[in-house]
Amino acid sequence: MKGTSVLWKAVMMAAFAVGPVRAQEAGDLAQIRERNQLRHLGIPYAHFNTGTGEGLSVELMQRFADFLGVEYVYVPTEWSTVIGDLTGTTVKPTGDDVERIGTCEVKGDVIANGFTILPWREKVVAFSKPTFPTQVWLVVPSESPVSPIEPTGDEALDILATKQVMEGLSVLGKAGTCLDPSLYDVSECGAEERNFSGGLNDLAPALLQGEADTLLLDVPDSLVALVKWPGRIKVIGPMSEQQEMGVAFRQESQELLNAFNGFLRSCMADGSYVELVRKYYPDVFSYYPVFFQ
Amino acid sequence: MGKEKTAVRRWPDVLLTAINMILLLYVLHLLFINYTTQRDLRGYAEGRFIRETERLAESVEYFMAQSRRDIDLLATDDELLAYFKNKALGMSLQYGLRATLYQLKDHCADLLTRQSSLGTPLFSSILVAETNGLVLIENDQVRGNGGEGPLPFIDESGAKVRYLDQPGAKGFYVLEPVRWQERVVGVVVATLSLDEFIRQLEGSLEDHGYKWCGLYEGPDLVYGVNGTHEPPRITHANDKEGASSVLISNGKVFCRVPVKSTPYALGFALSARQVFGPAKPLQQLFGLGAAVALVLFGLLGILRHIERKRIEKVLREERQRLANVIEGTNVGTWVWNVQTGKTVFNDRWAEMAGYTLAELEPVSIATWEKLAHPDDLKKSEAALQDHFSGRQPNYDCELRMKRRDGHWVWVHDRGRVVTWTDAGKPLLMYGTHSDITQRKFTEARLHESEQNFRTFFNTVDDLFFVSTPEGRILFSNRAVCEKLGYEEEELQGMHLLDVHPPACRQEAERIFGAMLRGEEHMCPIPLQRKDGSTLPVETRAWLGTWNGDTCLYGACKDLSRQEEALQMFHKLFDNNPALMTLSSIPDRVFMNVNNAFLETLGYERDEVLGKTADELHLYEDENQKRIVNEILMLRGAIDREELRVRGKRGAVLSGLFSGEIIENQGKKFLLTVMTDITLQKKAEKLLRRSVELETRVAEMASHFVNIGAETIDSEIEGGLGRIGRSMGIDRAYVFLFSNVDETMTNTHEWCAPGIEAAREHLQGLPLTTFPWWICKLKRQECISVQRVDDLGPEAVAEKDILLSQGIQSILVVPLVWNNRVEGFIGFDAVTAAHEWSPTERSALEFLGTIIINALKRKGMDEELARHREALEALNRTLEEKVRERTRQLEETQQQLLLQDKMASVGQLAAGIAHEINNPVGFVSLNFATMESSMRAVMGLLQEYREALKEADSATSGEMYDRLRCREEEIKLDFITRDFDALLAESHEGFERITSIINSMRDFSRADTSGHREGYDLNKRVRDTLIISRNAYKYHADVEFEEGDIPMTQCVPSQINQVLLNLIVNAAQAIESRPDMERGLIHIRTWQTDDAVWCAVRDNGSGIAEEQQRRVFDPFFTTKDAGKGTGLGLSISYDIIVSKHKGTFQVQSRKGEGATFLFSLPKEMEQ
Repeated sequence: MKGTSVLWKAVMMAAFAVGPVRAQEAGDLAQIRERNQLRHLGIPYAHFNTGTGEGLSVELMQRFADFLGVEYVYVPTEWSTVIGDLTGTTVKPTGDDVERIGTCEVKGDVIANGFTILPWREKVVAFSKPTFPTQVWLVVPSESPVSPIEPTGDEALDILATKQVMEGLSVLGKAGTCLDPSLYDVSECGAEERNFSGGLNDLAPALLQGEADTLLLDVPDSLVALVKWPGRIKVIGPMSEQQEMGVAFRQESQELLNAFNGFLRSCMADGSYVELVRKYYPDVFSYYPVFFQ
Repeated sequence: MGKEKTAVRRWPDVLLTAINMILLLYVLHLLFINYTTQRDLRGYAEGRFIRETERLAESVEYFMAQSRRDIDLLATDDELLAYFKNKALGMSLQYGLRATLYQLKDHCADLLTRQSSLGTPLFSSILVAETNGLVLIENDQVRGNGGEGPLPFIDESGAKVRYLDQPGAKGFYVLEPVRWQERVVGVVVATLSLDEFIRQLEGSLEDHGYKWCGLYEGPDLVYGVNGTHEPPRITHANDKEGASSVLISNGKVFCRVPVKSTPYALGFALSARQVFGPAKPLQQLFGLGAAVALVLFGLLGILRHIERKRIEKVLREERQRLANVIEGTNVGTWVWNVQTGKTVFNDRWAEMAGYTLAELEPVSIATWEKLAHPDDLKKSEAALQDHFSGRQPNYDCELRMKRRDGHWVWVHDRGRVVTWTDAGKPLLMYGTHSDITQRKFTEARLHESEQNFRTFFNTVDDLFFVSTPEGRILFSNRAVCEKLGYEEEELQGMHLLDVHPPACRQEAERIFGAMLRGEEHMCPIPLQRKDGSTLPVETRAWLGTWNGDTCLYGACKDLSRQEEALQMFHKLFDNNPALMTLSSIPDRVFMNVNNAFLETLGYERDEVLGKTADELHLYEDENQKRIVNEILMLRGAIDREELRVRGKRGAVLSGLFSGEIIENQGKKFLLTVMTDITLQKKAEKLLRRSVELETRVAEMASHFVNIGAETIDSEIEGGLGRIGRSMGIDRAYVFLFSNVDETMTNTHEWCAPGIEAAREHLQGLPLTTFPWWICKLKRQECISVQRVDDLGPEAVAEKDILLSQGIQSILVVPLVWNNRVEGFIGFDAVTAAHEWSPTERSALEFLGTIIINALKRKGMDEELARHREALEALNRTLEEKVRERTRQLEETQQQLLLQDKMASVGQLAAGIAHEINNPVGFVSLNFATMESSMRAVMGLLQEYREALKEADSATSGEMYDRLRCREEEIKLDFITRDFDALLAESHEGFERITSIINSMRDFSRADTSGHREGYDLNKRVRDTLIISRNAYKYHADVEFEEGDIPMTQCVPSQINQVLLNLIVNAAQAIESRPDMERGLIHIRTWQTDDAVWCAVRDNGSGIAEEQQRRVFDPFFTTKDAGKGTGLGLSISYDIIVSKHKGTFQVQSRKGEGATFLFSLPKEMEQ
């Protein structure tokens, strides 16, 4: 009991130590309305955010801003800093855990970018209801001697089979994202982890240019790449269980989160969300028909 | 074939001709009209109609082509190719492949929405599938699942457009294969609904008045539109594929127009009325008149036609009949103009040569000459000439013709000149060819067969005749000539009986007749050679046919060799040393026996012949007889079966029996041979017995090595039994001589069942009872008597004794040990005499050696056992003495050790006492001085206090108070009160120290310290209890059990010290038990013969076993520190044991108290 109270005190002290600084710039729904701006933290990624002001996430956030009756503002950011830009705390993921390594300025109110819900991210942000399904696949150039697995119908077995083929190969991924090789025990599988410093949209070209033997790529990007470079790449198999993407808010922005969930519910009910998805990812319905039902 | 006359009636030709002319003109007119009409109609049909319908077909074709283009685009869609490209990379539908189908799906969806010109969907369905039936896209949905088996439109035909009429799938299918890396990997199929198609078409036809009547696939109508006339099969013999066709029939124009690039054609119909409109009136009137006239003369024409038909029918029938004849006979026909050479052949003629008629064109007589065999051609020409010249009424020749494939066929060529020229030369000749190849082949085979039979007939060794039923010889084979010495010509015409000896001819004739009647089957009468000698034969005769006439066949088996064999057999039979018999079957009566049989078994011939083996009691064993008979019945023969037979005088003979049932002239006989093996059996038996005996003896030898002395006697008797049984004797025994009184005793005996034992009567027999026997034995000689009866006078004593016991044969072997005869081993045959073989004697001698060795070993073993027992008894006594002595030595050692320890401690104690005593001495002295001084000081102090009290407190108050306070501060009152107690305790302390030093000194002193005197132990115990009352009164009760004990000589002070020590220790042990409020100390005294005892028992804490050995050790204590020096018991022990030569011991268990016992000798050593 004594130890717990001490811990609680420490937490409270930490909270109060950080709080006063962030309270100036962060905001829940009231503050957003007061400021009359919804700041959308975005990173060019597949068809979620084309980087030209279009994309599923961009349009969704625009609609959400309309729903709230505030102005939509796009704030460009990067994968390595996006959480810090939202929460004001720079973090470093270590497996399923996260290490807080510092503070920074809060630049946005929401992350909507095809943002995969990961255990370590859930420790620092609050996710909305899932907005999009995804999965991480292992992709190789078509001339690679590695052959695609035979699907067994059992996701776990498929993942194991995919991991088995990685031994002795290099695996390109992107740290700090759902394509971080460390999230999938790549090195434990006898493969070499490589981090890509470029954008997610450039991962497939990097693979084709031989930057690594294999590539971790999520489904949305894979779908784009398969169409863009047919016959140039091949999908070996899944590296993760089916995952979900969501919109991320600050953990203390509960009102804003609830508002978004309500907005999303209404979009799903009237079919407008499905239409929006169909506009940017028409093919996803065949892969994940249940998700959008 | 001759001329034929037909019956034809003649009508008035003029009238008919005139009428016909008129009609002809009209008909010509009508024909003209019809022609022009048809021409026009055809012109219309082949012109405008076809053009327009072709345009319709083009629109359909365009419609199809457009559809195909769409589908073709789909089949070459990049997304579809990307799918296969990715699939080639091994990607699965689950991971990756689906992506490439999505855009394609949209294209399919686009196609589905495309509308026809009528505003309806062009395609009713779009399907993209792999060749294995996996459906990728169906309409606008990505599937990725399998279809129901192979899709119906995936086939090898490669047709791009197919019409399928299947349930739920009626319509046009436009197919386009999907090619990937030059392979067809899939198919795109679009369905054009038939209804849509028809609507399209009918929409186009509305303005033209055409009726669409159907859809053709090739010449076949695959879809007919209901309600229209079924169009005829619109093809012509010269139709080119893909061209439009027109048929005008019954006032209708039918047009079949192919749809290009498809296997289909459309059929359209149009009536002539629609082309030309209604007919003109004048033409109608003219036509009516012409029609009437036509009817009238038509009747005429019909009648003529009927007659003509009848004639034609007759001619046809004739012709048909002829053709049937030709076909039925399968002959080829030829008609030859002999003069010109022109020839006509029919198809069959050409077929015989392996050609068709067309292939032989142009045909002439040279055709035939070319095909005929050159050798046969000459024969044919000759036959022709014979016929031409009239020598032969017909031409008839068999010749060979060469077939197309090169081999020759035989044909029967026949013919006849039917027409002659005026000059008498042959003009027309008709003939036939028949294929006689098979017949020729059969003839050749028949000839060959005849040759074979002839060769066989003439090479066989038997004599064969063919004669008339009366017996006149018609034919005989070469054997007849060779064996009888006649020429073949001589035999021709001879009678069968002529070749028999005259004396036997009548009998032969009778037998032949009987054979023909079936009463006899063979004639044994020999034949007579030309030179008069006879030839032994067996003749058989039967009726048959020869050249179609009844004849008599005769076959004679030459028996001359058999005769020789029979003679040889008789020689062998009679002279064979083995016993041979010949008996009849089934009665087994001896028909013949050989000399060996008679001599061996002791019979005369007439005693045996005509009897059976049973009647002669030949078989010794009925079972053997049964076995022999069974084998004979089963196999018909028996080979070397061992059998025992009995002779006339009862002697039994052993033999190897063989026999076989033979047949001669229809009768069965048993021929037996038996080889005498009696001697062999005897020798075998002896050998077997010898081997067994030697084996038994060897077994006994190895067995006796290992047995113990206690079993030797039983083993000897057992061995005697085994040997006796194997030898087949009745009694075996061992006798041993006694060196003391010259007797012999039967020590071991075995008797066969039924033989009485005699051992008990044969004990201690004087050696003089068997003088001869003993004499031989003493010389180490064996005694072997086959028949006791045969013993001579020198052995009369032995003979009488042996015979009285019924012994017929006896064998005795001496038992020799160290060249000395110790006894003998003997074997008696009682039931029957026994012939002792050398082997038996040798084996029994060896047995004797074994037995004597065993008996000697037994004696040695017994003596050895006796010595061993004495040694063991001595050993046991020795061990007990050693143990007792060891115990004594151990006790002495303990005592010596303790004494040694005591001595060491004593020296140590003396040293310590000495060292302590000095300082104690001067401290004690100083203390005494100090005591005296302190007492004086204390006295003075008391006087000062009293003086102070008396002083006036008012005058010396401050000082009085100060002093008073100081007194209270130092507790002067207490000090003064405690002063005496301190002094007293100090005194006591000094005394204790002095006492301990004295004890240590006592401990270290020699035995001689202290004066002994008469000591009453009971009184001393009582005194000690009083003295030590303070030590135990608070903790324990005391019981003293006084025994009746005498006075002892002791040093009183020392024993007192021991008693005190023990009582104090007991009290302290009781005090140390926290669970006991009050204990008990029990003291008992008693005496034994040489000592007075005292035991002090307490129920204190007890002493642990491992500490009991040390309680008497100096300085060992179980008490708490400061509670004891550890010297008490050691001093007590020293006093009792060393100084008084007593004993001191402790008995205790931890927690149960302890008992200390000591004894004092009644008589003390001086």
